[in-house]
Amino acid sequence: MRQKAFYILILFLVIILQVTFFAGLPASPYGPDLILIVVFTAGFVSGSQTGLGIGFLAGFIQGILLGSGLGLYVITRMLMGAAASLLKGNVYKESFPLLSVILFFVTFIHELLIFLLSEQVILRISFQTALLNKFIPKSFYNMLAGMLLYIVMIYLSPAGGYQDEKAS
Amino acid sequence: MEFFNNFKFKFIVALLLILVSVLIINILDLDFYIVTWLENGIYNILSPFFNILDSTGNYLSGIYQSFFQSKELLQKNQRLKEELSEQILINLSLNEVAQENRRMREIYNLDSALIEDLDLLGTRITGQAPSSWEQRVMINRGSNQGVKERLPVICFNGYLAGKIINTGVNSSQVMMANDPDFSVGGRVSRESSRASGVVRGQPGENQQLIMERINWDADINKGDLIITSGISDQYPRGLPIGEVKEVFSDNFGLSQSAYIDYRIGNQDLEEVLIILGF
Repeated sequence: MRQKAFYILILFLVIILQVTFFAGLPASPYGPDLILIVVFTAGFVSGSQTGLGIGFLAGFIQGILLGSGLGLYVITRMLMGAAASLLKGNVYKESFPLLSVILFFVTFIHELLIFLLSEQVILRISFQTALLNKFIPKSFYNMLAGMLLYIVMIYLSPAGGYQDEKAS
Repeated sequence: MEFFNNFKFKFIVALLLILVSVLIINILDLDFYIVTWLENGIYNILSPFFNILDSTGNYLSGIYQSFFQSKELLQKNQRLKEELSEQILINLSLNEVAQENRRMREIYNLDSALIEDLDLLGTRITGQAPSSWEQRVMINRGSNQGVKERLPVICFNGYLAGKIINTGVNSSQVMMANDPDFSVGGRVSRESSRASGVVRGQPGENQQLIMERINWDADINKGDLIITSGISDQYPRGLPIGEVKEVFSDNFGLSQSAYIDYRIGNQDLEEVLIILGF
């Protein structure tokens, strides 16, 4: 329970920072998508239920901030939370180089899902343009900024994070 | 049989059900009272944090400026005073033209085409919605100040910035003109041409809009100023949108399209004006 409360608190902090501070940076069109990092960490460290729950909450709040509520982000964030839980037990939490590469691909796949599910985007921009101007730069930027947040979350996380699913 | 009682199977089914439900809600654009109520509640809880953070940042930047940039501020103030007196003179002569125009319209019984008596409300931008493609910002004025959905929003130089898409108690969301979902009727502002089309935001392009469905033989050139056409009653006629960057043939030569320079970057915008009435 403490673990879930921790993720919810971090999620709210990250959303407030992303909407205000990071939105004012010159690189803001490329992210970083720190909300995705929180969802990924929740799924990866605490398992599928927490990953899905945090994914749903993150997607719902993001949808509210975009004026759409139960929008596409609910779907993509939940899928990412569930997918991250598949890595639990297979990758060490402290394998930072490997996790950096994983974060790159997690962001890439997430961006690809948003692209495929947004009719206003997929019908009006070529895949190549989206790949070169959005997916790759954003994934790279998110990998760098996301790793910092991931490390902070791992060290602040109560009891290292594994106790929730063991208890359930 | 044991597989179907398995926790993992139940979990996957539940996940799929949730995802399919969300997808159906999205595709059919369904509106549930409880969800809308929850959305408004969460938005009203979150928005004060954005306002507080914005006010704090603004206050700190004010302190920094007053200590370290006082010379620049004085110079800027002097320059703005000079520009203001210049603008007052221009405004006086424009008022004369407007009055003459109004008299002529009365003589010929024409509807008013002037942007006059706009009821404006100034507001600060407190944040930008986190998204890959959408361009939406949050402002610190809401229903308490008379803000409603669909009201047009302009910059301080009069250029169209976007429209209100959602309102909270003391905060609202603005869909910027460069959002892929945004569209507005546009027209060339030139004496010899009144070519019109639909101006829309382009995904992945923050500083460029596209004007589509322009007649194949319409007179539109690079450098033309595009203004709102006023065909729909959502926007006043004559709001500047941007200048034409490039014109090209579209739909196998059946129509033309044009790229429009849109220099209002979301990052640079600090304040906007909401048109409450026109």
